[in-house]
Amino acid sequence: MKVQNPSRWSLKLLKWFCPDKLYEGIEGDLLEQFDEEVKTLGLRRARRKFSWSVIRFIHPSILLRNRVKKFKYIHMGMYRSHLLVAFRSMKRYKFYSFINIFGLALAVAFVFLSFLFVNKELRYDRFHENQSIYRLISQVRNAKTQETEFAGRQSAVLSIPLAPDLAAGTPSITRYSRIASNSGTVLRKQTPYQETLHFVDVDFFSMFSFPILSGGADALDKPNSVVLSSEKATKYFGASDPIGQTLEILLNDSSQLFLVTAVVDSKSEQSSIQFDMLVPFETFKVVAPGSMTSYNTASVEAYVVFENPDVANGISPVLTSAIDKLNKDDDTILEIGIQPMTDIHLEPEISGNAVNMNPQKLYIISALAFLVLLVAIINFITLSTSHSLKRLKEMGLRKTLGAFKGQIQRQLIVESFFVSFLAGLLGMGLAYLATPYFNQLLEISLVFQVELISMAFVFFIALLIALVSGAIQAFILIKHKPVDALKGIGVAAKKDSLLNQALLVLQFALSITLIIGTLVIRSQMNYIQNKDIGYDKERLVEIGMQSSPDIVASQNLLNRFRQELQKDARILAVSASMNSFQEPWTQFGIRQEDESVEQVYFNKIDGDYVETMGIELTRGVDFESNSSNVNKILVNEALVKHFGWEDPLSEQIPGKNYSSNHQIIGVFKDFHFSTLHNKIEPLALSVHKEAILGGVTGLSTYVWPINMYTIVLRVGSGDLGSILQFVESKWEEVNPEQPFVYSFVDDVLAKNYEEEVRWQKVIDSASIFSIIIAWLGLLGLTRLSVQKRVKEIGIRKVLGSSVASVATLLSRKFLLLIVISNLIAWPVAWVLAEKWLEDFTYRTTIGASLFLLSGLAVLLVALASVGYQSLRAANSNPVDSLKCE
Amino acid sequence: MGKTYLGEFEEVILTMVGILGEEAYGNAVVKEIQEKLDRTVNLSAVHITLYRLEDKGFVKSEMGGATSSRGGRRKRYFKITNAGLSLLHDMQSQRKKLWDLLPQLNFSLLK
Repeated sequence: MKVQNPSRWSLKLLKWFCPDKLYEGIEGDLLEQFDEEVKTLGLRRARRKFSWSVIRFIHPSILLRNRVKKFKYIHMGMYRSHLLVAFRSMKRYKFYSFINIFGLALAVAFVFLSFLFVNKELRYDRFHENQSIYRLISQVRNAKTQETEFAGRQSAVLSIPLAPDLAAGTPSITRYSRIASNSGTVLRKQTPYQETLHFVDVDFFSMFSFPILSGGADALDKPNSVVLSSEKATKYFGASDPIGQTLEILLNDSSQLFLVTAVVDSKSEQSSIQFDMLVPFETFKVVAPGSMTSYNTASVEAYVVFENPDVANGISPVLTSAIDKLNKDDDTILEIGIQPMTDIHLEPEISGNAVNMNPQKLYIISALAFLVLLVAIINFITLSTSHSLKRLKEMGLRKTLGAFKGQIQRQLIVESFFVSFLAGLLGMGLAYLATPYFNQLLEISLVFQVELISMAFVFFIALLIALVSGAIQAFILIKHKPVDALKGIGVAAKKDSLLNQALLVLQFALSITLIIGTLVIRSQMNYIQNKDIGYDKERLVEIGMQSSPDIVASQNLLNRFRQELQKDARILAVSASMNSFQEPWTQFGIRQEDESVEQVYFNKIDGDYVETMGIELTRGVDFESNSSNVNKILVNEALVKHFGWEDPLSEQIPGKNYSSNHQIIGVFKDFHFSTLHNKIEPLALSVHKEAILGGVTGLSTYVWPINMYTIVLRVGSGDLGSILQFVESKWEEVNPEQPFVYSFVDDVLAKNYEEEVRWQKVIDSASIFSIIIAWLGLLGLTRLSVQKRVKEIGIRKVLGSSVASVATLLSRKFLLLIVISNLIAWPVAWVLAEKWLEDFTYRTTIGASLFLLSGLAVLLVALASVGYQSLRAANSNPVDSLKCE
Repeated sequence: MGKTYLGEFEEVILTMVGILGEEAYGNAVVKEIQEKLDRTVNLSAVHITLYRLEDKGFVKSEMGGATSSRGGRRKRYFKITNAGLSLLHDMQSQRKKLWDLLPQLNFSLLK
């Protein structure tokens, strides 16, 4: 009879994973089943079924019966002994243990902080219970050429009637809320306070989950109700209950009484929708009476909720065609898209009001954390492997007494795990202590919290390090014969392994790269801060004016204020403009004969603006102060260049249906009205909006309606405090109803680069962490290598070597390694730096000196530690080292 | 530990162990379920459940004598314990109580 057996491998597999106790019963049952199936199904199918049945036994409740019991009963005593030995060896080699644990702890702390930061950013907008909230976004496409306009830019800023019209025509949209903002003045006990009001639709609170602290969710149902954030409630009402009280708010020159109906937690730390005070959307008609039903002015963001999230797929064309029917403009198609609420924070490409974070930065932070951790892990491995040679005797003894290879491996792994886990816990402690400083440094608010995932993370890192370094140590130690080990041969003769050297090079290359990164960022920041921006930003003050549709009133206010101020010689010049340096300037589009659209920036200014700002004219004349300046405009050189004009003073900005009858009276030198990230774009200045805005096809602006909102002052020498006091007193005299809100232009400009400054600090700290860790590693390694050669040094000295030659001998190799690290780091750093600088239109050049400098710095640090150790060894008395114990 | 509950599958297996009496081992349970309930179950599932029941103290197991078939492997016999038996009993009576509460007149209404 033919032997009818199941496949060998499946039997082997079963024996391997199955607990011994259960094995016989399970195998027997399987075989019995197999025998029967051979008869009914035939050998081949029965064998296949058998293997499959074995595989199905791989189940946690079978597997776990295995390991837990083995671990518990057989090895527990041994593990305890390993821990004890690890603890003793730590105590014996204090210096080495300190370096090892502290270096790793630093890295874990840094990783932990980065983890908190990234985690916070990823949790933005996740507190809303409704999962199908979307923000509407739009893109403009030319109806004839089918090309996208505004360089394909998508925007979340939409026209006012768009969202309600869409909701009315699309049944799958169940809720919507628009969000508009405008500044208003709160009058409380005769004192004016400047605030930003947000105008939202009634569904706001049923869509978003901002916790309502007091009041009802129907808070916005009635006109003239206002919902306050808890901060503002405290500001205006202190400890008393704000619900049912009234606030007088001045909006666009009209004063209204608002009833406080609710106080909510605005969750400003983790929300893309930022607000202090919410009022019903109908109130917005006070601010923008002309554009409530117009599709031409974009000024609000809109959020919608679909009846279920599945609808969201492929809804975009439906929305687009719905809007196309309503939109009267035949030249363009407004393409409507949607963006999930939770994507908003990490999507910087769509322009809107949300605070964005470039996801690239999260990658960079994670990568930095990974690099620092890598440096520390390398450190740990090199140090502990070199150090383990000191324990050859112990291992020799263990082997002589009958230890198996596996047992020694296990011991070393357990020991490494113990040390690295300790370092991990210490690192978490460090992170806890460092959180407040980190918050202060980066101007963020992280909350230190230990979660299961972070504990698991520390455990995982410790395990990883333990496995790698334990395995390498075991490999090195087991290689030695026990006899040699006991005799002590191999300790002195052993040179630093190639692996250690390679790891050292890698570690320093990483550190040098980080240092170069730090220097590049610094040099770019310096460049930006010192670049000539085309006007004089020193001692230039901006004062905010309330939004108002009344141009004449604003002009009169300015004139009176100027008259008062100019009585004091310390005020050199006073003027005003529509846009300030706090926001992007107004931009409008002019359709050309070939259907393309030319974009021109615009600022409505007062006649003295150019002089006050210190902008240089290259051609023509300035506006006349105290004159009407009708139809006159000034343009910048970029605009002249853009249109390729020879004689700009006789030209006009071209356009189809562009009805404005303007006259270019002068050309001024380019100045930076945006940040240095951007190129200087064409700009036109005029005193009257009619000079330039008749017949434009599109307008995007942060301030509305067109008027002057910012007073600019040039102040002369003298104490700024007293000058400001004087200005404030005059402001209160001329304009008692508005708060005095001022800022220095150089401060405002510096704010534009806050993000870069923050980055500088992040990279700074990463490179400091990594260089400290790498330096600790080097310190440990040199010390070990010097100790190994103590006898050699003694003999050399006895034979007449000088201190200098011995020191050189000892440090030469390490310095060579660092030079190699430099050579590796430079090209890498150069590529990365170039990539970062691409973002800036105006950028510094990376000089060779920068590379040499950072290389040299690292070399010096290394030299200091290596040199010190070598000198100490070289200066030691040879008698001590050669004495036979 | 609070009151122990049994899942449906656990209950089936436990009942089968009780029915089979002295002859309850993995394969026998599989066959019995196939025969009595016309339901194909996997050997591994039966084993896993049996061990789980053993952990909970509703069955106990011991190895049988040597066999000539099945590659000479011994069988692991399971036996229902008193705790297991009384649990089955409790479950039955609870279910009966619930069944009695079901309004019987519904049947006439549905017609």
